[in-house]
Amino acid sequence: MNRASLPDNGQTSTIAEILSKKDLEVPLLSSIKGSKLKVMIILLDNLSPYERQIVENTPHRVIDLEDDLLKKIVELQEENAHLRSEALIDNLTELYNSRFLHVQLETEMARTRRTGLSCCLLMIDLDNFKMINDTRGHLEGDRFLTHVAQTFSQCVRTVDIVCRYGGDEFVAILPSTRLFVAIRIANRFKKAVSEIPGATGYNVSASIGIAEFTVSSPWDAKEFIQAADSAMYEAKHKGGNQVSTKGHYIIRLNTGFESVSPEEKEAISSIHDSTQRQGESDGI
Amino acid sequence: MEYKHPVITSISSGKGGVGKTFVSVNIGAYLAHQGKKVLIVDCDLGLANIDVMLGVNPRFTLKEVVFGDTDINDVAIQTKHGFDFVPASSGAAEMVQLMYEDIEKIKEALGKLAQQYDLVLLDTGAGISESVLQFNLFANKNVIILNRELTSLTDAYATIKVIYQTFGRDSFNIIVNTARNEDEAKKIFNHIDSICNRFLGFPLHYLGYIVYDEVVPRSIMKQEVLISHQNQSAPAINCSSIAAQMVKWQ
Repeated sequence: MNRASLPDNGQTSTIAEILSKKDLEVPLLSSIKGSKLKVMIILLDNLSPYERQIVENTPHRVIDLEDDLLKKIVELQEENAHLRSEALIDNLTELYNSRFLHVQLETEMARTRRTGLSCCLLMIDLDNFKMINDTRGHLEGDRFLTHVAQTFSQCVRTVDIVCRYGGDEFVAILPSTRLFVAIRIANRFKKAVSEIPGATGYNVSASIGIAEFTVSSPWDAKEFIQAADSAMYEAKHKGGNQVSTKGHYIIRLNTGFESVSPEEKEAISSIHDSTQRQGESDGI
Repeated sequence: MEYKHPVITSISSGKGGVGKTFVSVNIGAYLAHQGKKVLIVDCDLGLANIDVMLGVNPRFTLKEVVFGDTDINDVAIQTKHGFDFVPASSGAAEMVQLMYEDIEKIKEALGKLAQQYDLVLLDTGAGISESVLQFNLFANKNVIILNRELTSLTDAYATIKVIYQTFGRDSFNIIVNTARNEDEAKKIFNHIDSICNRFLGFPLHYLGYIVYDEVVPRSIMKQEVLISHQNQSAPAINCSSIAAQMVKWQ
């Protein structure tokens, strides 16, 4: 039987019949990043030579809009792509969004624990950005943010993950990166921001906080972000347009680990007494 | 250029005046004598004194690496004792308050330079400043020098504890300096070892001891190393056997 058929739809029609219905030649479009998705399922094995020829001479098109399965496939594909982009991509800047940041940060922290290689988190807040919004309007503000996002992407390496954290805050995860390398990247970005057209006019600059997560850091993801955040505020409080850092070493200096306890001191000195006496009894 | 995988060893004590520099220089000389390519780095960034002990007057120091554009290869100098030496500056106040970034810069430069050596000895300063801790982290072997004095034992223990708590390091090699004899050295080691076991939960490694002998202060006064002038003395033999232990680390 020379029929084009779709699985389980229980209906069949010849290709010639299908293609003769001009009103069915409507391509199904998907809006995934502007690309157009066209779907055509024909079981070629079931076609006659005549039907094959028609198929070969026909641009891709949806054969049967009324077919439930096909519609469902296309709809699901569209929906998934849309959900995926909604969930992980920031609409304005097309950077990753904060939801993706949280997912990926866990992955990178796990990688650090496994490999022993530090990773760094860059937290960026623009100084005086509000000026642009207030005096030139939000469209101009958005245009500037898009420019910053592009600049940021250019300043990091391909392995780094750049996210818009919200408003005028940006974050980058730098996998397998020591603090001094992160500082270099941050400084590069700080300089690049000052070169964005309009930045100097509005006195817009970047306050950048960096936190380093080492294999012995006690942080969870939330604390890691907080560390980068507090480094960023430190940079802001020092006057902005600068880079500040946080690592467990600073935590140590700030909070102070327990020093030698009285019990430990006592143990050390009791031991000392015995060797001292030993030495003295030896007549040395 | 031949690239090696150097054993980078930090030498710390907590308390000053325990003999870090003496041990670094003399063990370095024996390591070099055993055919190893050895680099000694004066990591006492504020009050450097290996240059004094060696009687050399360096043109560049680590200070010029941090604040100038001097290449670390131009800072390293050859010594007559067979090892190379990276000096630091003495009395440079700005080197005491180094930023983390500056220490990282030093570590990065040293990391490159170290590729040319079998063993690198980092003579860290006294105390547990940020730079002392960072050099201990940079090293892949940590040596702690102590003597029988209560202050030395307490500071050595405090150093071990802080490095353990900060970086999770739990492998420390102990040298007992100015011991009366081997028995006393072992006793001192056993005691500090038992305290580590009891309070921190890990044992220490006994690397060796150096017996007290008048040839030591005399050699320091004369800016000599034992291997050149007192090779048969008891402390020289002690240094030699510690060096022999460290060669096995490679």
